[in-house]
Amino acid sequence: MASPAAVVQAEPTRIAPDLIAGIVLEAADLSATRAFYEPIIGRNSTWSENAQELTCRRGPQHIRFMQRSQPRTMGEHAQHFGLRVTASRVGGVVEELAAQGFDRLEWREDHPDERSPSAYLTDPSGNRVQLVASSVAAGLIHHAAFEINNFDYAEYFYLSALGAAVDYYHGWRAEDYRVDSETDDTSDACAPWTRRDRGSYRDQGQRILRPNAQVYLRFGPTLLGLFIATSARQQPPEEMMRGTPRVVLRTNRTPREVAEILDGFPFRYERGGWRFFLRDPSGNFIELECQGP
Amino acid sequence: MAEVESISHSGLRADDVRQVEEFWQSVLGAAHMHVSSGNAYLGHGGTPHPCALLGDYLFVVFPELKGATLSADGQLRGGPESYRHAFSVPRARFEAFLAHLKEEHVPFEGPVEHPHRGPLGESVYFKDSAGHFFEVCWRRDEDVEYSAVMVGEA
Repeated sequence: MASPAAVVQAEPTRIAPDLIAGIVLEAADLSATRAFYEPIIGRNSTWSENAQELTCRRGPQHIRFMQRSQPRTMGEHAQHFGLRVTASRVGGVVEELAAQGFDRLEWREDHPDERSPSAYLTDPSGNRVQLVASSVAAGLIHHAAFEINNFDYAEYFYLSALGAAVDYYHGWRAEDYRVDSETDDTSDACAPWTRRDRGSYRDQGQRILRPNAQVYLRFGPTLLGLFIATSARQQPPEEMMRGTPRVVLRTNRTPREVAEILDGFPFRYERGGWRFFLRDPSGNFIELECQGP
Repeated sequence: MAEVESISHSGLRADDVRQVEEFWQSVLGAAHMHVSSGNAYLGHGGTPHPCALLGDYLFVVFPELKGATLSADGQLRGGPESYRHAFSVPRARFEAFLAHLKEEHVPFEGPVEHPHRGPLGESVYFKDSAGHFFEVCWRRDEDVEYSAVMVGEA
């Protein structure tokens, strides 16, 4: 019998998604939604629509809107998604939508690629979209962001089970706090979900903004940001597996492989052919899309 | 009488708490326990401070917010002005531990041989990615069976 030291440890099997392939959102009025997003997304994309759904595709990525009379949107959450817009078009798109009465906000975030302010808009249903100036014309979705309740559980799900790689983290380094303390808070356009103002007894009653801890995960050319929730939110029933807002992750694994991997973890899922629907430990909806049945 | 049992844990500071915990895991074999205040319900997202278990000893590490310098560059062994955490390994595993330090490209000082009549055999000195000093030794008395700590029966 081989000694324990002689046993070669096999690399753990992971689902290893390689792309945020889609975002699924809710919308009250599909026509108004298309009118809002068309200028942002521009040409080189395909739209399809029926009475219940509106889908925009570009390359391997898509955004799908499900018609709901009362859309579940996350206006006050960290939850948002970033769409790639050719840098030369961003200004014109923002002006066009602002002229139609849509509020535009300029915020910055903490990821190194997002340190300069960029435009955030709220679509007609209340979904928050960030316009990410990009030279990459082919991509549609740059990133998505979720709120989470606990890093340990979230990382167990995304790193251990799904096999994501950490791209960046903020609020875990001394430098993150030093930079903030040197910044005049009134002039720093940091996005609201990137800061927290819960006081410590050491603050002696002063309101001091500090970085809200966050981790960015990389899925190929796309990112998923996880931010600690700054307040408790009502969640859909825990037995609900297919819900929105939802991030669709693409994997090259077969459905059988994905099922085998997921069965090794304490996460419930629902399978629909070569798609898997599950929720992260904070209740966020995830869909895993295998490449073929 | 205070009736203390043993040293329970150390609260340390680091410029990058994730990086130093990764060092403890990869170099020392520590196990991640949890991230305190990395939780929306316990304080709506306070400053996250990971906890890691090395043997039966708990380390908690906080972001270093005061900008203190922990150790001079090049110094690998905690001296009179500092402190270090010392852990022991069985003598039979000491060489393997030295090899592991080399594999992980961790600079170290030693091994240093201790007096033959003392309890310690050899020690190696190094510091983690945040500059905390560590010592790993083997003990000459490792085969001695220790008496259980008799708490409250002194």
